[in-house]
Amino acid sequence: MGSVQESMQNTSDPSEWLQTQLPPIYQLDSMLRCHICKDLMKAPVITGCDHCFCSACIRRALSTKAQCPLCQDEQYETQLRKVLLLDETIAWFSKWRSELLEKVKLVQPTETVDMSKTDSSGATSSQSRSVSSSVPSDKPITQYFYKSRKGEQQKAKAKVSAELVECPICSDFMTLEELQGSHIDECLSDPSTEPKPTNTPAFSSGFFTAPSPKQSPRKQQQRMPLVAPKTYKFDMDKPHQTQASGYANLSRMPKLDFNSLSTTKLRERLNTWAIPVSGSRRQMERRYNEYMILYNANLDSRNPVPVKVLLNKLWQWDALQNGTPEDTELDAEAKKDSREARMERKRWRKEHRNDYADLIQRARENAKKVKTTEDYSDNTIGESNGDLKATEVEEVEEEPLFVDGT
Amino acid sequence: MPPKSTAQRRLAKEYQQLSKDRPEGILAGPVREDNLFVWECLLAGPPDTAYEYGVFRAVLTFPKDYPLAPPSMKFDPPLLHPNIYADGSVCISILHAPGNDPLQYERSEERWSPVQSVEKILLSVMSMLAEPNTESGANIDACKLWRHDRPAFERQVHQQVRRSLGL
Repeated sequence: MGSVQESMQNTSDPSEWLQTQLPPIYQLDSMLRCHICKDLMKAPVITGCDHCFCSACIRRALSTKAQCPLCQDEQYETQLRKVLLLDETIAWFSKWRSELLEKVKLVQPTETVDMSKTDSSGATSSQSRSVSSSVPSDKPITQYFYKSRKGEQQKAKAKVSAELVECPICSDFMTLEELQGSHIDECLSDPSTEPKPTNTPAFSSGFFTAPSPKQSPRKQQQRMPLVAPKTYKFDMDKPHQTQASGYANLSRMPKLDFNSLSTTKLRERLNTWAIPVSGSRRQMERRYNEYMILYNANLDSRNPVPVKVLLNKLWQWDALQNGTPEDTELDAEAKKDSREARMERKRWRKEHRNDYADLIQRARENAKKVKTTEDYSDNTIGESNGDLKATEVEEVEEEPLFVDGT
Repeated sequence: MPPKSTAQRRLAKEYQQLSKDRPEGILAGPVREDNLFVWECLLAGPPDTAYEYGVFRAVLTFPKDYPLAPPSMKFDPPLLHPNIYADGSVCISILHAPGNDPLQYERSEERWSPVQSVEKILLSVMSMLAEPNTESGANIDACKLWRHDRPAFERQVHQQVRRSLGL
């Protein structure tokens, strides 16, 4: 597996909601994302111009240019303020996101399968990409989904209430076989089957599953098999918008004026923060700056991590920075690869020269027909029409050939 | 899995989003599975322009500190256009970091900022193809041709369109 595929699997992005029963969550998801890293915001802060970013992202951006990336207003790191409520909101959202996504996924995503197919082919075969063949179908699909889902959902609901029966003990809904098979016994022997309407977590009661009047709270819990009702623990006693104690008063790491520091002094400074002092002076300076960003961003988090974790992150960052030999190797390979791709294309063109010629010939004849029937006066229009037809035919015939080849 | 840099994570995200929600006439993705820093894109020539029906290949190269710094974009093979250098490099404000503005004519909100994206770049390039900016030309010959001998300009572009289709 290539790393692109790997990182794709580990990436969440708002468009995942488009293929669910609740496409509008797409907007909520995008709003909670940082404009710089496109991830859900970590330790969000607000600038003097009222824009929110991840603390680390905006600090890094401001260190290259003292300007808000969104509105280009002049901004400084000292103006940044943490937004604990947003931090909590995002923490909630990222905690439940994958489960929610699972719940509202479309049951029969026939169209989605097609879409993912085109995706993966786009990922692997850069040569087979053809603009006109794969573009037009995308946007209407999501709209179509949104509309068609409503109808399907209603049908599904009607079907559910028609086929399910209610358990007399826990008033849960299930199929008759299930009820008669094992459920009644379980229900009678389980002491916790008393209906507990107040115990239901707020969000499962009708936020994401439209409740029909007959549904009992128990029934909705049943619909969330991934998490048993007992595991819904809310930190109700924990006050909102507070930071873990002990961090609120910690002072931030200062910016250093490297020009006025001797290398020995710089080393001392690094030592006081337990930052590694290996490498050249330039490396030490960059390491200090990176750690300053990590450290100060950590103070903006609702639940700051121990310094150890930060140092570990710094170490990872260091490893990525020093990975230059590997990078240049990659670049070289990429160059070689594009050369190979070009050769491949040439070879393809040579191999299928006759097909192309044939298609062009046919297209020209078509163009002539068009010309004679509609009597084009402009020569160039007729010709370019012919070209277009030729390419369309090519793409149609090219695609299956390519699949066979691989 | 090796730790991913911010740039790699962000590029993976953009690629994922682009492949799901594709703007019309634009295809883009990494050339190689294991290197997210070089992308290949195919742009369809905007309709009602000399570039119509063409499918143009360009290479986007991202810096290691992306998205703090913009990528560079190069048409390969080069394309005749007032804002594309003779070697194929694209000269457009969105690809210029706000710091360096040698000519002082670009407004800072048009220029690169970390909130821009590959999608926005490619859409800007598409509209650049449709509406060249001859006041800040990169290819002076193309500029002259475009201004003084439009038919000749269009003839040359037509040739490139045909070549882009392998004709």
